[in-house]
Amino acid sequence: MSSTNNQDFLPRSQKWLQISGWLLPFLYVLIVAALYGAFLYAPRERVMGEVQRIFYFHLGSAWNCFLAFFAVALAGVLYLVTRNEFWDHVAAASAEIGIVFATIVLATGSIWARPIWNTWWPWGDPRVTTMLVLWLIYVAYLILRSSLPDGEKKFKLCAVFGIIGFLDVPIVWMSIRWWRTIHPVVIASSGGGLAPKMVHALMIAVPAFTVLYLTALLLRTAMHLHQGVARELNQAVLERGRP
Amino acid sequence: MNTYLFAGYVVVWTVLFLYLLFLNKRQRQIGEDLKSLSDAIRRRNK
Amino acid sequence: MRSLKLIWILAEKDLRLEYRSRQAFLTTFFFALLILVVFQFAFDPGSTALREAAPGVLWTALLFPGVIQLNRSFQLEKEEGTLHGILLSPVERSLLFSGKFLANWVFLVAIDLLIVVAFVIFFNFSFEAKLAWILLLILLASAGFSAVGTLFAAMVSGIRTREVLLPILLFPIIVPTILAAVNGTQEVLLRHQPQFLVRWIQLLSAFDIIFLAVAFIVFDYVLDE
Repeated sequence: MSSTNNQDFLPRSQKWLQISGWLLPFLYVLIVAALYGAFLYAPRERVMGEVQRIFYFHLGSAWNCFLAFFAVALAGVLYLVTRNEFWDHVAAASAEIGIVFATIVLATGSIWARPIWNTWWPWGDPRVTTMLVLWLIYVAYLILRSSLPDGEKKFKLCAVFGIIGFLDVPIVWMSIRWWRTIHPVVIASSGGGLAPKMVHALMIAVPAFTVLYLTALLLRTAMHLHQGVARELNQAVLERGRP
Repeated sequence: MNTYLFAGYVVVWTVLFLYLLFLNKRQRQIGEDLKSLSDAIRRRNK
Repeated sequence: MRSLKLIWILAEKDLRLEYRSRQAFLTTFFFALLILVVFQFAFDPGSTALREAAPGVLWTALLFPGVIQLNRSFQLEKEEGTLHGILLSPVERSLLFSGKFLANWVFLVAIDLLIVVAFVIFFNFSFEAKLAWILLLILLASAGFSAVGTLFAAMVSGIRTREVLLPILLFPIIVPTILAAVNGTQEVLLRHQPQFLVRWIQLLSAFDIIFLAVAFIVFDYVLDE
């Protein structure tokens, strides 16, 4: 039953690959523009200095990390409603890309925090710590995926975990914010007044990363689908090959 | 100060590049799956 | 009414089983006790650092044995093949979840109370009326812990690596519960700022309500038999 399902999507997956191919030139242009914006167009930050130029790619990744994890939860709901394996491919692809972005956010955040706040890991900052918990949740999601054989059960369990993980995010955020306000605050949150040119640079970096996310999502979903089809066909041949 | 900026962008590109390598590996696996599939079909039809 | 009775029958079955053998109860209690002792060796005896860290140690000692109990709650059923029987009987799966949740909750609260007694003795706090607040924290925190934990235990019950997988899935999700429980306990034992304690209790209650509701709804999907 599920095999027909996967193979029905094959013609459509060609379309996605085509679209991701069309997106590539835009992606190149946008990334170059974002680099230009971050390094040349945006002014030097007065207090933090040159290091602040990490910020544009940092925020671009952060925004897409949330987008990716929202897509995991949404695809989970859609899977549970429609029971269509396609949505599991989307969730798997999105979780993986989300972890890539989250890793970038954590690493750049840490490198940024060291010279500015003189600490590699500002535990008291709710953004950093929430991102870390997010990262842990979605790595757990991938571990759950890899420890189950393909099949309806895996798709159901992963959908449930994806939904619960996403629902947890606002609660984690709240709890860490309260934790921080109670403990002595080492880190005053920066932000607030960004120069207009910095906002412009941000307005290029964020869409650039969003296009990157979409391209990767289309590509990875198609790959998951093709893998599923190859797996099913192999199995079918093996089964019918037996005398 | 600028070392940190440099390190930050090195990390961004390294992570993205590693992900690309990973995708490439996966793509090759799919190719191998398909090849073994077509081999199996050919053998059966012989 | 009927569903409440069914939930109670299901929970009572588990609790009675445990009461008769007391096997899990004694091992988990002993495990928690060991954690309390090991942490004593990690700090200088009687130092202020140990006293400051005490709430964290208490909840660590409650967390790990809790995971063992959660894993057991579906494992016994699987091994004996009794889950099939329950699933075949005319009981909605959400009620099965509620029964399991209730049994786990009662079990954890009972263990936790004993551990708190040992904790007060080992860490040299005094038995006073304010420990009632810790009882409330335990009731709320173990409710959230069992709600998510029971759901996840059912999810991983068929997987070979379930013993490691359960904490990997569970701990990141219950970060808010851990934070609220540890910090609430800190307010009770060390800082005495009631307004913050109330806040943590509110957070725990919100977590419990949200995840009890979610687990109750999605439990249908996670049992495949």
